[in-house]
Formats: sequence, structure tokens, C-alpha cells
Amino acid sequence: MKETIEQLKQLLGDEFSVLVSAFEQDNRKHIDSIEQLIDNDEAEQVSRQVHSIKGASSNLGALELASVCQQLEAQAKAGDLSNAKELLSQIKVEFEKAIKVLQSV
Amino acid sequence: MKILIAEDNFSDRLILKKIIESQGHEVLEAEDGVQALAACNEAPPDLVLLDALMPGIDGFEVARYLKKQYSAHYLPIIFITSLTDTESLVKCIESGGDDFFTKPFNQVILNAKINAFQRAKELYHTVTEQKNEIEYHTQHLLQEQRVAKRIFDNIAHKGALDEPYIRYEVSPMSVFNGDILLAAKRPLGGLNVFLGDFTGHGLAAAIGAMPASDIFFRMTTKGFELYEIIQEMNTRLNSVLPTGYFCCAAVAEIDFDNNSMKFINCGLPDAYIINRNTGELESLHSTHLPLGILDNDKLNVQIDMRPFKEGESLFICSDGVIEAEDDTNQMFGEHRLLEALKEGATSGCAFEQVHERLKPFHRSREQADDVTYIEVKNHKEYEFDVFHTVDEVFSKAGPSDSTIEFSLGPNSLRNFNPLPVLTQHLMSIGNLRSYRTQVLTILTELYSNALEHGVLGLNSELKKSAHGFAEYYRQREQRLKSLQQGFVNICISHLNESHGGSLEIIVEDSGKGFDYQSVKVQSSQDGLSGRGYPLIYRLADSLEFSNNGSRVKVVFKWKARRSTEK
Repeated sequence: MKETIEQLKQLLGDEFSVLVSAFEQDNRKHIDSIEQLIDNDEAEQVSRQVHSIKGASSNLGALELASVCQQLEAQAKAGDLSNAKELLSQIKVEFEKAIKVLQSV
Repeated sequence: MKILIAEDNFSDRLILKKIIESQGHEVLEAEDGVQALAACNEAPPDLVLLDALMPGIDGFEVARYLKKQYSAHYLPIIFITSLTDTESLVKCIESGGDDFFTKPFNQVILNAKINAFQRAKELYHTVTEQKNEIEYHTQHLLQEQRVAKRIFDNIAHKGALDEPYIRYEVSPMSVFNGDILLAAKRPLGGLNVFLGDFTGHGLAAAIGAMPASDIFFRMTTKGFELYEIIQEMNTRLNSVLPTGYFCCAAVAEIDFDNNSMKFINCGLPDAYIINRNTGELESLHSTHLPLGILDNDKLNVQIDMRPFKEGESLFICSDGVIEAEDDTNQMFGEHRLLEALKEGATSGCAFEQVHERLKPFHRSREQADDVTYIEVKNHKEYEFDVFHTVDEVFSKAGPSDSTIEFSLGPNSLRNFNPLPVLTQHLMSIGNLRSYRTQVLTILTELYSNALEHGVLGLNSELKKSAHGFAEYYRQREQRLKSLQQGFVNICISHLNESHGGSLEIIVEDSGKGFDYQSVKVQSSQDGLSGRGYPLIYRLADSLEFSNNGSRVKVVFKWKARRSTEK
């Protein structure tokens, strides 16, 4: 993750902090709404939102986060939300870790 | 390049933007499909980076719309996707995507893709520019050919092409492609036919077609000889046509009355004499260079004089016939032409056979070459009106009481044809015009008798056989060339009379005369020829010989006719 972040900092310069805060805000919103969507049993919407988090996190080098997202996306796409809450809490953990790393550099 | 990024995720969009801007490209941003379409409508970008999954209008729909809307542009679309299943990737391509770019983003790969599309774009521009240029020139050329055709149609007319003994075909092209077909009746009866194939198309070809057609019709109606018409055309074409442009032509002067024909082929494919009685074909090869290349001295026009017997027909075609192609690029070719002509020969429908067999060969080899062919039949079922009707005039205008005298020495006899000049003078006598053909016939017969039998001492018996016919004309040419002395004097007086006028024509030659008593016995001619006196007997009011037959006086009286009272 460090390597990717270094590259991005080089590319974005001052705007790197903008990227980080946008990443945090957008995905926090996504995670909140996923919670709600799981309760309402809206599997397709869950898959879409997680897909978005997956793409963004992979671009920032947060590969563990992207990997958990990938699992939830695949299950939700197949209409299976049985395991969703558990995966979502893992996503939350990985997300906080990633934010910490991003803010520390 | 101007590159549109359509991506709903802010952080992804930001990273893409930075990568692309770092390569010096201009970036437009869209957060969803609606914004992407709006941005394109405002000003189409050079490249679109398109996220497949976006809220509202998704990337697939945007791609489909853009490809349809900008089908005439080169607008490449790269799908940005973290989708990895084959089905989704196929959907990207099917909706109009040109390439993929997958998350996580790799700067090097993206730059390589953008560079590739930039090169393709430049190539597309070059090709488009060249295509437009070619299109412009093609349009220009077609327009030019249409104009040429219109100009030509305005000056050309059908002449005698619609006579029942003529069958002809000219390609029904809307543009002028270089072929002209002309036929005109000669004032003494008979017919002149001209088939010309100009090199090139459009205006350059039409430039030559106009004077050629003009000279042909004008000189034919004035009674000029075939070689004079051809020399005049050649001179004119030589001066008007640009270098490298010329006119292949076959020209015939057909005398149905005498069953003879003068013919010359300057660069066209073989023409054919078709004999209905025997089914045989005789080829008439090209013997001269095309018109418009050499001056007359070098072209050295030598006209073939040959019999054209009852039951024979003349077939002339342009090379468009031989080079016509069918759908499999097979050429019609000379062998098919010969087959068709032979097939139709004995039934008298060689033309129809060619016409029928050419049908599948409807394409022309080069861009568009004219397919032109004609058959002129000397078949007894057709009537050949010797004297075609002319407009009748009632008037005593012009030199209606005048005398014209002409004395021709050896040099003039060799190089000069007095008939057009005499005719022109006589025809300016207003009401004589109605009798133009009769007067011309009498004059022509008298003059050629005086020259050929009188001055040159040629024997008309020779002309009775086909072989002698050619021999006769060979001798005529040879004796003319070496003529040292001799003369023909012509004196024509015109008198007004109360209801018309009378013309006294005296022709005198240096020859030793002939047994003129014998011609009176002859009532009709058969075979190829004889002296033309019986014809004159029919036309003139009186015919008197003196000086042992070397002086002849003809009186032609006529009544002024009214065509339509106004």
C-alpha cells in the first residue's frame, strides 16, 4: 500500500489530501447505506455500492479492503446476503485501517 | 487531445484526471452518464474514458448513443472497469467500446493506450482529408462530364440515325464519355456515317466532339468529299485538342445508288462488312492513326473505295463494346463480337445479335467507357430516298440573274473540289434551294465525267467489276498525281423566268471526247457504275453534246414552288 500511496502523492501533489478526504467521506457514506440496504434485503444495490468501494480502494492500494469488498460483491450479486453483515464489519475494520495509513503519510 | 472522463467515483476521477493531465492532455469531467452526453453534445472530445457502472444512464448506454451520434467522427471509447467477468467485457465491446482500462489504475498502461489512440486519430484525419479531396475531385469530374454532355446534346442532333436501314446503340450515360455517332444524308443521296471515340472523358473530350460534329454535318450537306471532311476534322482536332488527346474514328460515305462505299478506319477496332447472302464477314482494319495527332500531310488520308453490294451491311463499333465486362470481370472480347455478327449475318440481324449478347456485359472496364455500335444495311427491303426533301422557298432573292465561270488547270484539278463553291453560290439564289439535290447531282455527274473520263481518260467499263472498281480509283489517283496539262471549264448561267428560272450549265474538258450517241440508248444503269448521263437525262430538261462529246450543255428549268402560304 505504501508504494501505491507514494506514487499517488507524487502524481497529485497538494491534492493528495483532497483525495484522501474524498475517499474517506464517499466510502463512509457507502458503508452507512450498505448497512441499511442489507436490512432491507436489497442485494443488487448492495453489490453496486460495494463495487464502488472496491474500485476506489484498489486504486489507493488498499488491497485487503478491496479483497473483502470483492467477496461481498460476488455474494450480493448472486442474491446471497446471509453472510453480508459479517463481511460488512470486516470491511469497516479494513476501511479504518486504510484511512489511518492514508492520513499518516 | 481533449479527453472526457465519465466516472461517478470522485477519487477515481481525480486520479485519472491527474494521470492524463500530466501527459499534457486537456480533461473534461462528467460525474454520470447525463453529464457525459451533455459534454459531448457541447463539443465532441477526441477520446472518452467511460465508467461502465454509473447511476442513471450507465456507460453502456452512453457508448451506444455516442457511436450512433458520431458515426462520421472518430470517437474512440475506453471503458474503465473493475469488472472482470467475460460477459461484462463483451457487453462493453458490443455497446461500442474500443478498449478497456481496469482498476487498479496503471499509469504506464493508460498512457500507452492514449498514445495509441492519438496515432490512430491522426491517421484517421489524414485519411479523411484525402477521402474528402478525392470526393471533391470526383464530384468535380462528374459535374464536368454532365456539363459536357449537356453542351454536346445541345449541338448534336440525330441526323439520319433514325433511318430504317440503320440500327445503332449509344450507351445511355448521363455524362459524356467520349463517343460520338453521327449520320447525315448526302445531298446526292447516300449517307455519311461517323463513329468517333475521343480519349478521355468530360470536357476535354467534348471540346473535340463539338467541332467534329459541326464539321461533319456542315460539310456533308454541302456536298464535300469524304477526304475533305476528314482532313478538315483532323486539322481542327489537331488545333483544339490538348496533347495526348485524340479521336479514334471510322468514317464511311455510302452510295446506295451505285452500291459503293468509301471507308476509312483511324484507330477504331475492326469494322465489318457483313454479307447477308453468304453469311461472310470482311474486316476493315484500322489503317491510319487517330485524328488530331498528325497534320494532314503526315496523316496522308487514303480512302478505301469499295463495292457495297445489295445484301451487305456495314458494322462499326467503339472499343467499349469489346472491353465491356460482365459481373465476373470477363470481357466481351472480339471473339464474342465475331460470333454474334456471324450468327445474325444471314438473317440480316447481326446488330440484334450483338445487342442481345452484350446484355450481360453491362459494366465498362475503365471508370466508364461508352459502348457504341452501328449497323448500316444495304438491303433491298429498305427504300433509300435518293433525293431527300428540303425546305421549299419562294423568293427571287440572291444573284438570280448571274453567270459564274470556272476554269480549272492541272494543279486545281489535283487539289481543289469546285463543287462546294459552286453549290454555295447557286444556293444563294433564293428559290433554287428547293432543287438543291437535283442541281448538285447534275453538277457532280458533269464534273466527274469531265475530269475522270475526259481529262484523265479513265474507262468506265473498269468499274463494272469489284476488282476493277478499286483499280479504277487507283488509276484515278495515279493519273491525277502526274497530271501535267488539261483543263475543265465550267460556266453556269442563271435566268429568271416568270414562274421560276432556268439554269444553263456548260462543262468543257480537254479530253478527246467519247461516243455520246451510245449513252442515249442506255436506259438504265446496272452494275457498279457507268457514266452518269442516264441520271442527268432524268433530271435535266435538255442535254446537248458538242465538240465530239468533250463539251456538254445541260439546261435545268424549274418552277418556283410554294411550301406553305403565309
